[in-house]
Amino acid sequence: MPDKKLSPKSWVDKYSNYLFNFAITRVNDAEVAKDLISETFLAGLKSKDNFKGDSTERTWLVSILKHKIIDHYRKINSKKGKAEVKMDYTSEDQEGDWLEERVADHSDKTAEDNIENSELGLAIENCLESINEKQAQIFRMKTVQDYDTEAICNVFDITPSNLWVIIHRARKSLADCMDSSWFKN
Amino acid sequence: MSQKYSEENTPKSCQDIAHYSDKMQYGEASFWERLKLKMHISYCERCKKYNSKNSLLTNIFKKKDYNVLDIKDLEEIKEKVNSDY
Repeated sequence: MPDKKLSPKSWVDKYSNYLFNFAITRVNDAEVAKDLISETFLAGLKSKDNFKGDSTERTWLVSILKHKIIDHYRKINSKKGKAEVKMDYTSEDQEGDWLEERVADHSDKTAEDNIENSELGLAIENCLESINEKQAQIFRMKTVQDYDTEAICNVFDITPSNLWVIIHRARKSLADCMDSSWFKN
Repeated sequence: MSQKYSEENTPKSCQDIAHYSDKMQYGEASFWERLKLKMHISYCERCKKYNSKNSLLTNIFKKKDYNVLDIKDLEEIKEKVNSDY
């Protein structure tokens, strides 16, 4: 049986990077993507009673994010003076907190898997979920953000040899977990 | 078939080589470490495999299709979420 409880406190550390990769390929703007993620977590908190445990926490948050992205495009379209399509609102005063508050967690597993298989950022984040969040963060800083070993050690209060053990663990789990298609040039 | 390597059943010499291979991916392996690695993988199949997969992994990260948030961004998101809720 999957755990039906949500743990909102760990959402930001656990899912931000996954959601960020999902959002940024769809809105092409890091600032907008960050805002959408904050809004997604907030909407998730507000509607956490709708989570029935049918899907994973992450799948559920992604479904909320999808609505936030649609909402975002709706807003920029209406700013351009185009007619806003409001067919999803049941009444005027619900504007702003529409569908995502009613998102049930229909498990759309296969669709989600397909997305993961086609988007590198999501595939990487998916594999990083198997190591703990702090280690994943250390790996990201070292590998993608090019932080100095020393700087990372200071932030996390670890020794360089701790750091290399963590890096090794992360690289090994990625090497084992990533689909072999990513390794073809 | 790929074998499963765990830290326990990996010889110490191979653990060292894996460490040099990791350092090399970040351009931090010394001349001697690179040399030891080269010599070792000329006869050790398991380390050779790890090293080549490790380099492929490095290539994947060069593609820039993977975006990460800075710890400052994460703090910012936490603040927003906490203050609005």
